[in-house]
Amino acid sequence: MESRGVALAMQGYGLAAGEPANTEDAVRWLHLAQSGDVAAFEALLRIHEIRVARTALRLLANRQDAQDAAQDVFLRLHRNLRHIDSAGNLSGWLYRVTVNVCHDMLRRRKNVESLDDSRFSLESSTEADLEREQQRRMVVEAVGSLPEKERAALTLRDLEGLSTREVAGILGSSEATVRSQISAARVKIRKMLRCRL
Amino acid sequence: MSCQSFEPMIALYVEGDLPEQDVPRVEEHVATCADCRNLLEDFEASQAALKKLGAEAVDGALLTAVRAGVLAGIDNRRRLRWPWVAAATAALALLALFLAPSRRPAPEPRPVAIAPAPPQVEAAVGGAGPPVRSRRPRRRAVTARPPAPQQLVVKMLTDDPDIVIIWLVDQTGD
Repeated sequence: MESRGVALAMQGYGLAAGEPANTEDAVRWLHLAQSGDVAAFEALLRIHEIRVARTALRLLANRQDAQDAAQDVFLRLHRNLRHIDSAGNLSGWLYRVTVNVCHDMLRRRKNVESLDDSRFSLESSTEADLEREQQRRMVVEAVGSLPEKERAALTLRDLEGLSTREVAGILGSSEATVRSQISAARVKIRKMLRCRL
Repeated sequence: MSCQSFEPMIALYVEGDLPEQDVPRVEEHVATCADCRNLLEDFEASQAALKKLGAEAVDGALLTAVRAGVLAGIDNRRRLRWPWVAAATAALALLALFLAPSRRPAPEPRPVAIAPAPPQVEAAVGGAGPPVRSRRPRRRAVTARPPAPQQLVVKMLTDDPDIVIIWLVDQTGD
């Protein structure tokens, strides 16, 4: 069910889900959201929701957990809006909080293997589809089997396409540490995929 | 330097993450080592598989669920906050009433009778004879009766017991 806020955001700001916004709009929405405008907050949510949800999916490898984590991240954003001083910092802030929220969830659910994924479907009918789906699941499982820090670094660098400097800023590490983590992660992924494919 | 030690460097080189100063060394080695060329190709394949995963669209139903959950959470927070705000305001108002000084009017000071300067009193003058030195009436006592609400009465006694001066002052000014 679409809430009143969703309708307001769509009508008031004309933004479809995931549609990138220009910087001026993002700044305007941030200021409006900071003054309590829920529709403006929803516009911000629509800009950033894909990145947050995708990152949570890759870090948690579980659809329901990813949904809970993404909701938690945006509710935290709403509570801390006044601390965001510019729209440019918002992406970094969201990635950082997403990683932290996911790490907390992973610690809570320790030893629980949960690698179901949102796109897995038995409806894939052709042989090629099934093979593609199988390969895809192997990659998902390979990423999911990485240690927490390597998974976060690899997800942000290779799946989200951020630079090593940006990843270092988000994770609060040095660039050298991030390089070491993504190198180790890529070596493991390569080995796991070579064995299985 | 063994091929094994090149592996972590090739893992970075494949995506352009290797520090610039190390790039020539890796390129020279890969150009001359078939195993490391194969390793590089392996990395390229696994990175391509990773990128494919990264490029996938996120399930729209998941995004809708996240959005609905967030907006419902914001709404709940606001609803929960108002009763607290109202309760806090009421508590503050009660506290202010309790601590504020009483606004009942203070009792008015009792009126004070002010005795005006006594008038000159002429002594009774006899017929002939030396002029009698006029005596100023000696005030023996001045009593101010408790005044009527609108009248001040001043009674003055002189040396002559037959002479009593009574002074009435109308305070209303009528």
